[in-house]
Amino acid sequence: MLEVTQLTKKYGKTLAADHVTFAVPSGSIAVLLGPNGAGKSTVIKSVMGFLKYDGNVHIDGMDNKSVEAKRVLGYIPEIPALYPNLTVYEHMEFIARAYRLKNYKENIEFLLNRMELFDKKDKFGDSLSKGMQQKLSICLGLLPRPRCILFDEPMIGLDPHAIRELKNIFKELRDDGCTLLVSTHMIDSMEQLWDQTIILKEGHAVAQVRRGEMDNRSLEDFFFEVTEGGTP
Amino acid sequence: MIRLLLYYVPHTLKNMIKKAWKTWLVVGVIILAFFAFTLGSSLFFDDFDEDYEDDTCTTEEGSSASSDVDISNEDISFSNNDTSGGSNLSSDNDSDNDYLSSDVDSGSGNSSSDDNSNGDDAYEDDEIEYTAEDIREIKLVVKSVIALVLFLFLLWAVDKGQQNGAEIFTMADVNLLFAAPLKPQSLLMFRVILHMGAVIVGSFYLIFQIPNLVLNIGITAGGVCVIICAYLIALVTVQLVRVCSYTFFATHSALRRYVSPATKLLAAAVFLLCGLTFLTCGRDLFRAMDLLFGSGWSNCIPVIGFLKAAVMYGVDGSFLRSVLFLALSVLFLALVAVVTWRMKADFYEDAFTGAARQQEALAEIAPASGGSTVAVTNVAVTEEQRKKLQKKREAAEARASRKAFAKGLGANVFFFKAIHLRNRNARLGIFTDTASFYLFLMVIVSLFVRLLAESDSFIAPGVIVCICVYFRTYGNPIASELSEPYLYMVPESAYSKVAFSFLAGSVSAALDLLPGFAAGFLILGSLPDALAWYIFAVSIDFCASAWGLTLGLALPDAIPGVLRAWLELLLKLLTFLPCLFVGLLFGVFLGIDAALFVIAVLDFLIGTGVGSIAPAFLRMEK
Repeated sequence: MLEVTQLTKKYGKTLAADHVTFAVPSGSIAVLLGPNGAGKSTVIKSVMGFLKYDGNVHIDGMDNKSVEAKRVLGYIPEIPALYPNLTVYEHMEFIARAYRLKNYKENIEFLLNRMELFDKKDKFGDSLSKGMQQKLSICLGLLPRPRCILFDEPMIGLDPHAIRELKNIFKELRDDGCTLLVSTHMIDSMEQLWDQTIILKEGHAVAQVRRGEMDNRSLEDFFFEVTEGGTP
Repeated sequence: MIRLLLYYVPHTLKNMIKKAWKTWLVVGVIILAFFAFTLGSSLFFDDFDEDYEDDTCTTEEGSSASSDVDISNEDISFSNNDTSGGSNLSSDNDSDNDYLSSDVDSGSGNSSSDDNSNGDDAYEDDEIEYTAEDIREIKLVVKSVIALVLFLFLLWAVDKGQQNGAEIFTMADVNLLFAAPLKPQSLLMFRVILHMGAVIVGSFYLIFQIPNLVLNIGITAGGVCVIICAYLIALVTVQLVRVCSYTFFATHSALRRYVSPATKLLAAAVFLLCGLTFLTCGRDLFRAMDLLFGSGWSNCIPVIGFLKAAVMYGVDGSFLRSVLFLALSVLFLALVAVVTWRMKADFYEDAFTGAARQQEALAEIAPASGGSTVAVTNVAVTEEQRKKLQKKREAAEARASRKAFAKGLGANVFFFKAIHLRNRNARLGIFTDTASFYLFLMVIVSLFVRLLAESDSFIAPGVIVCICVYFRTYGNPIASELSEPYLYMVPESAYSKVAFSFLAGSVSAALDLLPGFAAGFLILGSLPDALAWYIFAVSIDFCASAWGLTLGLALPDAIPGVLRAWLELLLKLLTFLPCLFVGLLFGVFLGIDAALFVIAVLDFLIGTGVGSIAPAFLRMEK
C-alpha cells in the first residue's frame, strides 16, 4: 500500500506540490493525471525519495526513504538512463546484485524474453535505441519483484507489442497484489486498466475517484472536466 | 557496495577495451607504445654502456648503476651523464638527514673526498658543483611548493565539492541505484572509489619516472616509492575532501553561499602571511621559506605537513620517518572517510538535479554530432550558476547596445557570432570573467615582482599566466558549437566552418589576455618583454586548443575522461617540450624575448597542422 500524506514541495518560491494526500491500496492501479507542470513528476520523485519534501510517504507502513521500503519499491523513469559500458544482460545482473536478489537468473531471462530483448543481451547500453532503453528500464524495475511500483510515462517510445506487453504486466502485477502508480499523458491507454485516478492541477490534488464512482464518463472526459471545466 | 564494485569495475573496463579495440585508437596507442619503448630502451642501454665504461675506469669503491651520493663533505659534486643532468639532493648539512648506506657511483666521476676531485678527467667538463647551501635552498623551495600546492588543492576541493559535487553521479546512478535498497553513503563511496581508482590508474605513468629519479636525481628507490605513495595519497585526499564537502553542504545547503568567499579569504590570508613573513625577514626569500615551511612545526599540519614531511624525508633517505608521516596521512584519510560515512547524507535531490542537467547536455551533444564522435566537456551547471548566468545576460542586454548581430557571410558567421556573444556578455564589452581573472593575476604578480622583489622581470607573471592558459585549454574548444546542428547544416565546407569556429576561440583568448598583459607592461615597464610573453601565451592557447579540438573530434565516446585527459596531456607535452628546447637554444644566443618568439612561431605552425586534421573527423562516418 502507498500512503502519501500532506506532501508539499517547494522549488524556491514555486509550490510544485501543495499538501497532496492520497492512498493507493494493494492490488490496484492508480493513474496520476494532470496538465504539464501540475506536479506529477514532483510527486513521483518525492515518493521515490529523490527529493526533500514536507509531509509523509509510507510504503506498506514503512518510511519511503528507509532501506526496507526500497526493497519493495520499484521505479521506471520517464527518461531511461543506462550505463554506456554495460550490456543489457550486465545491467540486469548489476541490479540483481544491488538488490541482493537470489535465484534471479531465470527471472532475468524471462523479463528479457518478454520485452524482446534477449537477443540483444550483449548490446551496450549506449547502443540501444530509445525504445529498447525504455524496455530495459522496465525489465530493471521489475527484476526485484517490487510490491509497489511507480511508472513515470512508461509507454513513451515503446512499439505496439511492447505497449501491449506492458499492459499485460500491469494486470498481472495488480492481480498479484502489487500497488501501481502510473503517471501518464496517454489517458486512453490506461482507460481499461485503472482502478483509481488522482488528478493534479497546479500542485493540488483536485480530484480523486475510483472506477466504480464514475458514471458512464470516460476517463478522458472526466480529466478535461476537472482540469478545464471546474470541479466535477 | 563491494559486490557492486566487484561487478561493475571489471565489466566496465572489459567493455571499454572492447569498444576502443574497434577504433583507430588502438593503432595510435600501439605506435606510441612502440615509440616509447624504442626510445626508452635506447636511452637505458646508452646509460648502461656509459656506466659500464665508467666503472672500468674508476678508482672509487663500489660500482652500481645508481646515482651518486656524497655523504661526508660540504661540497657536493657530480657529473652529468646525459642531457637531462641530475643533482643529488642529499646533503649532510641538512639537520633532518639520516642517510642510508651510501651507494657511491664511482663510474659517474663522483667524488667523496674533500678536494672534490674526480678520478676521471674525461668527465671534468660535465661536473656542476652545488654547495650544501644550494641544496638546502632547493629543498626549501620544494617544501614550500608542496605545502602551498596541497593547501590550494584542498581549498579547491572544499569549494568545488559544494559547488557541483553532484556531477559525481550519472543519471543511470539516479535511476537505478538511488531507488535501490542502499544507503546514500554506500552510493557515494561507490562513485568515489570509482573516481579514485580512475585517478590512480591514470597516474601509472609515474612508474616510468622511478629510474629517472633514482639514476638522475639520486633519490633512493625507497624514497621514490614514498614520493609516489605521497602523490597518490594527495590525489585521494583531495577527492575525499571534495566528496565530504559535497555531502555536508548538500545536507546543510544554507551554508553553501559562505564557502566560496571563505575559501578565497583563507587563501588570501595565507598568502598575506607569506608576504608579511617575507617582509619581516628582510626580504630574504629563503629565510621566510625556512620559517614557514622548513621548521618542524609545519610537519604537524594535517595532510599538508604530513605529506611534505614524508616526501622530504624520502628524498633525504630517512625511510622510517617518511613511512611514519605517510601512515599519519593515511590515518587522516581514514578519518575523513569515517566522517563522510557517518554524516547525515541527504543529497539525492542535489545529485538528481546535477545528473539530470548533465544528461540534458549529453543528449544535446549526441544527436547533433551527425554520427561523429564528440568529446564531452563538462557542461553541468548548478542552479546558482544558471541564475548568475541569467542575471549577467539580462544585465548585458540591458546595458549593451541593441545592435543586432549582422556580420559575416558563409562559414565566417560562426566566427563573428562567437565574438559578438563574447563582447555582449563582457563587462564594458571587454572584460569577460576570464579576462578579469588574467588581469587580476597579472596585476598581483607584477606588483609582487616590482615592489617586493624590486625587479622589472616579466618572467614570473609571464610564466604564471602561461601555466593558467595552458590548463584552461583542456577539452574541445568548439564543443558548444557542436551541440547545435548548425555547424553541420550550413552549406559550407567543413574545414572553413571548423576553422572559423576555432579561430573565434583563439581570438577570444587573445582578447582575454590583452588587458592583463597591458597592465603588466604598465607596472613592469618593458614593452618588448610584455609583447613577447603575450604572443607566447596566445600561441600556447592556440596550439593546445588545436590538440583539444582534434582529440575531441577524433576520440570515440567510449574513451573515459581520464584517458582522454591523459592522452591530451601526453600529446601536448610531446609538442611543447621540443618547442621549448628549440626556443631555449635561441634564447642562449639571442635572449629570452627571441626564444619566446621562436617558440610562439613553432606553436602556431604545429597548432595549424594539428587543427587542420580535425575537420576530417567531423566528416567521418562512424
